[in-house]
Amino acid sequence: MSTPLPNADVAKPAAARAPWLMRWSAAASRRPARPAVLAISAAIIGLGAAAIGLLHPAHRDLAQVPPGDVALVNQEPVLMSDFISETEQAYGVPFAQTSPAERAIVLRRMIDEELMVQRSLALDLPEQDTDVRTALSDGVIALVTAPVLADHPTDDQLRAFYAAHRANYATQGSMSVTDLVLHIGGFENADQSLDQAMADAAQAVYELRSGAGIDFAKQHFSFADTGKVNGEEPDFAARLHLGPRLYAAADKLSDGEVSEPVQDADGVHVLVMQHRQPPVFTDYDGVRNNVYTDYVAAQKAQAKQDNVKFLRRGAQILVAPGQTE
Amino acid sequence: MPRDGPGLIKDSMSEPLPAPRRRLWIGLAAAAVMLSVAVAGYVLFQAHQAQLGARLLAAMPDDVDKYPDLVRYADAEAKPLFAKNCSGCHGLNLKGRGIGAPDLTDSIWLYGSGVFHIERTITYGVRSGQKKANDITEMPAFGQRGQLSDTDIKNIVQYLLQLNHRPYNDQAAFLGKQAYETKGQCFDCHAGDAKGIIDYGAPDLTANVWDFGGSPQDLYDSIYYGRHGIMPAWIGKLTPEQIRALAVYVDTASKR
Repeated sequence: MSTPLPNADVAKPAAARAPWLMRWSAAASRRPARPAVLAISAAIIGLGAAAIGLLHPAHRDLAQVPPGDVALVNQEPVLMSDFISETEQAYGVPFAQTSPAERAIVLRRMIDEELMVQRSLALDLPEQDTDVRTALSDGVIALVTAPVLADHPTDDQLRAFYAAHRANYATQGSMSVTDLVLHIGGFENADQSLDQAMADAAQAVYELRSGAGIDFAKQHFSFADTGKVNGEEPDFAARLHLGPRLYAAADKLSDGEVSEPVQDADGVHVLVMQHRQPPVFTDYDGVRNNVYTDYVAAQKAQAKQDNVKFLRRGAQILVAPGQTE
Repeated sequence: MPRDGPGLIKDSMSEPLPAPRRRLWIGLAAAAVMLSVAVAGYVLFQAHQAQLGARLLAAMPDDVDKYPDLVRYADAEAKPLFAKNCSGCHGLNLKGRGIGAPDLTDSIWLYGSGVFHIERTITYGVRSGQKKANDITEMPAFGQRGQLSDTDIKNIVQYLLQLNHRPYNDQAAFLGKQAYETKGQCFDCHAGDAKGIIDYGAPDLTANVWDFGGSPQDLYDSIYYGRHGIMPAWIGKLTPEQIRALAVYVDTASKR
């Protein structure tokens, strides 16, 4: 058993009686690495904790409505701004002048609407309901075409558009035309060649233009009457029945005129115009309003098309074997 | 300091470091402590800013100006946002750039003044395609559509000059007023007294403030070609807090 010294401080080294900084310094001198390592470790831990706190997003408190929102419906926020706006629209007065009961009605309606929207997504209505799909598609189109009108068209642009679409600004014409055909190459059991048919058609055109009747042409050259145009038909119907190539030839004819021979898929045709009521074109000044409206619509359609192209570039589209789009 | 001496075993671990190395270790430790303090301060500052941001959003829009600390915070947050996203059209000084983007420092607002209305405009835009955008009407192209003749438009321009106490032709202004009230149906959007209707975003034609220029030729062009100013919707591109801050910033600028 040892007896403690009357004054323990006497036995301690001088450094132990010194202030803490001196003691720490002395210890650092004896074992220099330990305190420094401890201090740096603490600093690193502190820095790490701070960095985690800074960089890690705060968890949303599921039981609280975030600032700026008026409600949280299944974690989907309802904007306070929308709430104020809808309340003002509903009652026609500033928000501050609406009563709590009035606000409650609007809020209930907005929450109900949000629930319905969420339900519609759960039911996959965007995939299944044609109205929902149309609304979504229209919404996208509205967004992508909105900037189109920001730059108003120049007069030159409108006039160029008018010139390119002049037929759209005309009254509907009509025609009564006889379409005669010489079938070739086995069509309708025909055995004559194209050259032979063209030569016969050219001769028939000469005869018809010289005053021969259609019946003569039918009998003498074996033409068949296709009957594609039945009586007096409006231009759009005649275009539909004749096809683009024959209609283009017929469109140039006046009353009683005979076309040049026209080669089409089924043979060589000759058109005899019985009666032509040509469309009446309206000059630019008479249809400026329509031209402007159509121009804007065309610009929007172009913007929509461009957007679809853009979407297609980034999309993975697989088409079943044997199918084309 | 321990010393070597008789009876003492010399321990390499207790050997004091040379003074320069000791100072290095102490310096490193002190630097680490200072860095920790700085980071802690930054974290506290960020927490304070986050709290201000939450308060800014939680406040009713038109009540924000009652809290100077919120206004200061919003201004500081919004200034770089405005420079990055808005100044292209409205200019860094908020005075517009003469291309249809209005001067935001005056007291004239097409779609209503105050933080709430400004915030709505920033959120959903003007003719942006968003269903909630300000998009009730637009200035038709009266000349291009053939609804007003060249003479009609020139007369209306003279009437506008008269309304704004600028030099005008008396007879033409008289005829212009007639066209304004009848053929042009301008009163439908700009009101009978030509002071505009905010619900439509139709500007006051008597204030002599013109987003697309106020010269007679500019006025003629506005009537002839129409106007279709647009502003993009910022919802989804900026956070609600950023939008609120911008609204406060712009509202404050208009009241200076």
